Amino acid sequence: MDISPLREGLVKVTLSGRLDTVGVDRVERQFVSALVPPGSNAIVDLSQVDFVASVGIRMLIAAARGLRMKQATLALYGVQDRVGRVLESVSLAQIIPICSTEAEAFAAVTPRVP
Amino acid sequence: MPTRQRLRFAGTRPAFADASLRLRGLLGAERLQDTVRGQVELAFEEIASNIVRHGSPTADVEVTIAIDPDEVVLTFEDDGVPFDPCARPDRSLPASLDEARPGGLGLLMVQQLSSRMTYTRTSDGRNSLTLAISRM
Repeated sequence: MDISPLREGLVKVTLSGRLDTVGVDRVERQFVSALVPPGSNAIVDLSQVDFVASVGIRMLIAAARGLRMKQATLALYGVQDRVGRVLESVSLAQIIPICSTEAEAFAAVTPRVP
Repeated sequence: MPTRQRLRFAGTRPAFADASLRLRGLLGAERLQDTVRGQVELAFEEIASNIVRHGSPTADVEVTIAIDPDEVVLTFEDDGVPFDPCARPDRSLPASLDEARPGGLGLLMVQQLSSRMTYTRTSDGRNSLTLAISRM
């Protein structure tokens, strides 16, 4: 997992490998604690994740909920097809923005200036 | 050619992690579509992790994977407390982040990918769950 601040109030997280019981055990604490306490908007690159189970989806939902309580947003992007099919089966896009590219994810978490 | 494989492991997280690796090795040697392989891995992950999470560490878990031309049939047997996943009411998907609640998601995912799912409590007191994943 790689966590890099892109600018004030925006963090990019790159997850890799499998978001199953073993994979989530390894990253969950660091993932949630890096994102939620600062309350920054976050974009999460899933292009290197090749498997996701419910435990991984719960981790993403927990972080998105934590950020929502701080008026911040989390967006996912770069999802591989096989992972995308799983996220689609639980309609995750209804509750967390799932974007194709980093630029779209960036736009999804950036407040529009009227 | 139909094949049948068996995995047996204790109800602990390290044993479950090792069994997951062995399953991936077994599936790697089979000619399966990528989608089907992913569904078998997901069903195993969800059901077996549930058994390990709610069962006793001394539990004896046995998983049979039968690869037939039309479907892959997974049978999970364990000596934990009686639990019938088929008796759980269908859980609806959350419509918003505020409605999203933990729990039940894995079972919902398995119900969605299975073409059939049956549970019995065996005469010698074991949970036995069979589910099929279509290859068609």
